[in-house]
Amino acid sequence: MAVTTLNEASTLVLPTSLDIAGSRDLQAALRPLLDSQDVAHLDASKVERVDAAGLQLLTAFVRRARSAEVSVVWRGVSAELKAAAAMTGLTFHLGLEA
Amino acid sequence: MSDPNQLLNQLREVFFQEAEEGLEVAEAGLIELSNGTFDLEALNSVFRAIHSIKGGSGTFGLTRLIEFAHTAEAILDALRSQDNPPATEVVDGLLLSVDHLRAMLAAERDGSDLDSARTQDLQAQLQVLLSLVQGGAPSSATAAPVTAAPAAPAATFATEWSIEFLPHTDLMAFGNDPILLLRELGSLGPCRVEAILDRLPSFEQLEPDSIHLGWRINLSAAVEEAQIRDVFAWVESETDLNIKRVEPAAGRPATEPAPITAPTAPKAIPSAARAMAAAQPQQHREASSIRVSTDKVDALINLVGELVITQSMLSQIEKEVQIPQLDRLRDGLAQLKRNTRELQDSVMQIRMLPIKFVFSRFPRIVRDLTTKLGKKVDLQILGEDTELDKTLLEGVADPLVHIVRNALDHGLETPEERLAAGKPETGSLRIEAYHQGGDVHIKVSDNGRGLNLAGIFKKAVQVGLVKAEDRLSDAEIVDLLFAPGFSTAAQVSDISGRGVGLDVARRNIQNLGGTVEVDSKPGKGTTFSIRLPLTMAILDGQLVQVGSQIYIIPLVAILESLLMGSAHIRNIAGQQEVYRLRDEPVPVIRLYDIFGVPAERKTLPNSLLVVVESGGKKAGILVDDLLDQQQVVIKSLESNYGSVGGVSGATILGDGTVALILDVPGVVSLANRQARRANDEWGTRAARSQAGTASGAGRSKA
Repeated sequence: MAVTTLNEASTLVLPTSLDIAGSRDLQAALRPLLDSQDVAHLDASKVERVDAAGLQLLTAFVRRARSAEVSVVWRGVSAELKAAAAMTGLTFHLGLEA
Repeated sequence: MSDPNQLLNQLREVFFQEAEEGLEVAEAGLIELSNGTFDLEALNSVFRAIHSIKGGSGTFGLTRLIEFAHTAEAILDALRSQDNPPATEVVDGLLLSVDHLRAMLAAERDGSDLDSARTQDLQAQLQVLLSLVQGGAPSSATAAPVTAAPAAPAATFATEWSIEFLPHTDLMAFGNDPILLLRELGSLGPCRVEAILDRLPSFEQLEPDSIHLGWRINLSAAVEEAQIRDVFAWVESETDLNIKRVEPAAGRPATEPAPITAPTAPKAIPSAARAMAAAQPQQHREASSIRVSTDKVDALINLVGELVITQSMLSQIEKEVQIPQLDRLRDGLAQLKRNTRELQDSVMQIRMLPIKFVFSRFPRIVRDLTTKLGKKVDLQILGEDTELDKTLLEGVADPLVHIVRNALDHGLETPEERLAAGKPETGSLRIEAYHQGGDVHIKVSDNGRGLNLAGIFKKAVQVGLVKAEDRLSDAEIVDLLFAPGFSTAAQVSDISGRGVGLDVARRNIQNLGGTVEVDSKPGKGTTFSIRLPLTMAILDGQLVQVGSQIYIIPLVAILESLLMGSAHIRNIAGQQEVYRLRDEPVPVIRLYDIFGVPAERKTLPNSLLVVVESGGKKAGILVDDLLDQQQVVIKSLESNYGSVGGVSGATILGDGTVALILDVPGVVSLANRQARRANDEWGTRAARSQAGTASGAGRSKA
């Protein structure tokens, strides 16, 4: 199942459901962003459903990116993702601070 | 007769200024208290500051401020009766209330809207803290002054709970989602949630369907432990749960009643002795200084500037006239010169403020950021009494904050990374200021990982600043950090990514007549060195002549002046002339060309070249003659003429003529633009003539 797509500007568009069901596919889609570039663009504007597994995966990704000096740029963040991050105390760890 | 309204407005303005300063004092005191030692003097200083703000607010009828300050003051007063340092959450809460008082003051001052929901929310939090500090059993009497705030009653009886929630890795496999549990918990009362990432494996090793996160939650709610346990009832077997009631600060004798009388008294004067102790240092401070508006000081400085000009005009005449009493006149003029200079120095001193005003914000910034970033940093601040001009002080604040944030975010490593690199887990950040050679030096040094030159170069290639095949020296790569467009700050949701980039920080410092340098050693750390002039009102300048005009080049920008030998002059393809200075090509700038004035000398051999430095690069300015070096009083052109390219201001010389002061970076960029235009024209001409030759050749072939 292709959960993510790269659009013209090399942005990884996150799926509508960031949950445990799709987390393995998402992990596979995120991995190449750490190898090839200095900036990883993520578009989370379409995310409607988030669970702790999805947040955990994104947190691990952002942490890894920081230690590899890859900047994570959020192209868009849905209200749902922001709310879930705030509720779990992960806003800062995800680099979602305003 | 003065208008009573006007007087009241003036007094109000003074109150706002004093309140702002008071909040700075309170903030500094709270940071001291957060070090874990009980410092009664620091506590008193915070109490005094908040108490004065409350008193002033009463005078001007700012009721919302009175209520808010009252609660904060009650907490502080309760803390004074204890022998223990306040708990971290109490200091955090008080720091938040200082921030909010600042916002409330700004709103009152500008007449803008205030976020009243935030006020109520914080007020409720402060009430919880107050009951915590007073021994956990809030009395109705303590809550009385704030019952007007709607959120207060519920919170008054709230208990502070600390909950550690560590799900087992297979929690989600059973269809349970911690987010739902946290949401449920949030419905009980206000929560502060902190994620625990200790158990989170690296991205590569993460099994995405196992849960490795944990949470620490601070819940303020009027609930029993059982109600909290109920939330987790379904997942009990897949969770480690630790619920604790947060006790008031330890060490306080349980039998001692909370000092509830102080906060309830309408005027909130604790005890006579304490109030006197609190008031004494302030009286001392009032006696040693007076408050004068900056406009008055600037008018005085301007007048002294005029006096300096008049004095040098008289000295000029003295050289030219012959009268019998010349010796006596000369003595008088020498004395006038000395006195004028001393007067000028003294007046300039009035505008000088200790850099403490900027440095004082760093302990808070470092504390907040290290907590967020999970780093350990030992902050050292040195030379905070170093004085510099108020305008410079205000101008350097933002660039400095940016550099400090940068050091915390990128420079210093996490404790794990430091231990892995064989360093102590606590990093060090040193911010120092000192005077040297008529300049103010400010250094920000960290003992972190140092600059990653390869990484900087790679990023610069990526954003198109340089080409992958370019060969740059280490210094040139470091300079890329300051290039506009290097920082991805505007897009990255990052600590140092908010606000200005390093390019803007450097430009701001250059606009103040200063410079920034970076020194970095891999694995050892990075030092940002800022150099600023003491003041922006006078300047040491070199007077140069171009045609009939006299220009002033700031001495700080001049490297050397020389007579050009013809053997060193080169004309690079196109129009760019360069002078080879010890094997380094220095582009020659013809000032008369840029400003469109007639000049005496247009040929380069045997002409004078003033070598200047701008943005780490050298350039040579061709001049007809070198005149005196002297201190000049800077007069702004902008108020009358707007911004003039290549010129930073003007001055009046001893003979009454007006001389323009060169803005060296501006002159260099004007010259570069001119050279580029000339180059393009040359390129077009060359291409045209080549095309002509080619077509001619083609025809001849045919």
